[in-house]
Amino acid sequence: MADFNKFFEGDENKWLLSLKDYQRNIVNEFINKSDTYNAAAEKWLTSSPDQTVPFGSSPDRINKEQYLQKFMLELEKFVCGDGKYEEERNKLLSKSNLTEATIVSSVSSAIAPFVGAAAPFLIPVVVLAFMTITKISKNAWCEARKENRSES
Amino acid sequence: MAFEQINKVVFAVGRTTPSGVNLLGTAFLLNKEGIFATCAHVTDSNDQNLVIALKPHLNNLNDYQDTTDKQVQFVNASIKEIDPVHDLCTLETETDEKSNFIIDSTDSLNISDNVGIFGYPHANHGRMILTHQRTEIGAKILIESSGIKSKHIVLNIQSRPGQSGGPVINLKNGKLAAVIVGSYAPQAQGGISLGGIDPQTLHQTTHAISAQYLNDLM
Repeated sequence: MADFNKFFEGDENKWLLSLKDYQRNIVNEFINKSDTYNAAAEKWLTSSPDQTVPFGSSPDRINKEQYLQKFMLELEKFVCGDGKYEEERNKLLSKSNLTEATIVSSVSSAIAPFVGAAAPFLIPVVVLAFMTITKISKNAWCEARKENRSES
Repeated sequence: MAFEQINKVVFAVGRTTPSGVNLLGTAFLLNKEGIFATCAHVTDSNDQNLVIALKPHLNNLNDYQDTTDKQVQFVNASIKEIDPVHDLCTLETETDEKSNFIIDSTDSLNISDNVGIFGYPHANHGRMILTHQRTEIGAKILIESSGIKSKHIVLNIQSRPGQSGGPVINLKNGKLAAVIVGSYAPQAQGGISLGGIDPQTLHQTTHAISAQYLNDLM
């Protein structure tokens, strides 16, 4: 079974290679215009054309401002060892030739139903979150998340 | 340019619920088997119970569409690619149908050029009538989304909820020039609603995004 921690070592930019060209172009622009990877992720999640009322007719449009919080909660459960995703985590880590792209895709698919968004929509957000985690180390990120939750 | 068979490639997008299908907007078949395009916002970035819906009795656009006929056929759809900045996404289905749409761009259009648009206006009220409108280009504009600007056109026509995701066809060359995304409003969020209508959208300034951005999702 692969060591999950190892993937969160080294250069955080390696996660960008998991993205398709159009996603990477947008994410790179967001990173350049943001102070943190979290802020870039929020831009992706809340993006919509200015001064335009969308003419889809969905009666119960999701409050996108809440996406990031819901997303982070589910991501923490997956990455930091919560039992909720034990099966998916074990299945992922037992894959041979595990790559960053496979991890991003599997994590997006696993948490998407609980975030209320499609997996392809979450892929760039997973990448940006993994860049943060790689920057500060997985254990430090999990610890910080735990402390933040106990304070709130 | 004749569009009698456009009903074979332009459909409604909906979400199945215990009480039936809620219509969300318009989608159209791309020149790739089983792949449709629509606006990202039409799906709310969520493909749970998402479907492509069609009226089984509509043989061509010149048929009378029975407004009392609530029978709808649908195929399941999932989001394949999604770009919230350009408000576009592609949907994957198990059908092997494809269209002969050629993806072009708003670059090929000039002010006053005529375009044909197709969609399901008033879908928010459950009305599922595939409707053609003909209009002209009022302006070519850049609209910003999270700090990124993209090419749009202003269509000199009033559009209504349900038309998002509808194709805009350049009548000069028959190619797909743009996709309807909505209507101009100084304040996109927090408008008021009177009888389900936001008064700030009652004007003839419809926004459509250049179809060129669909190429990135193919």
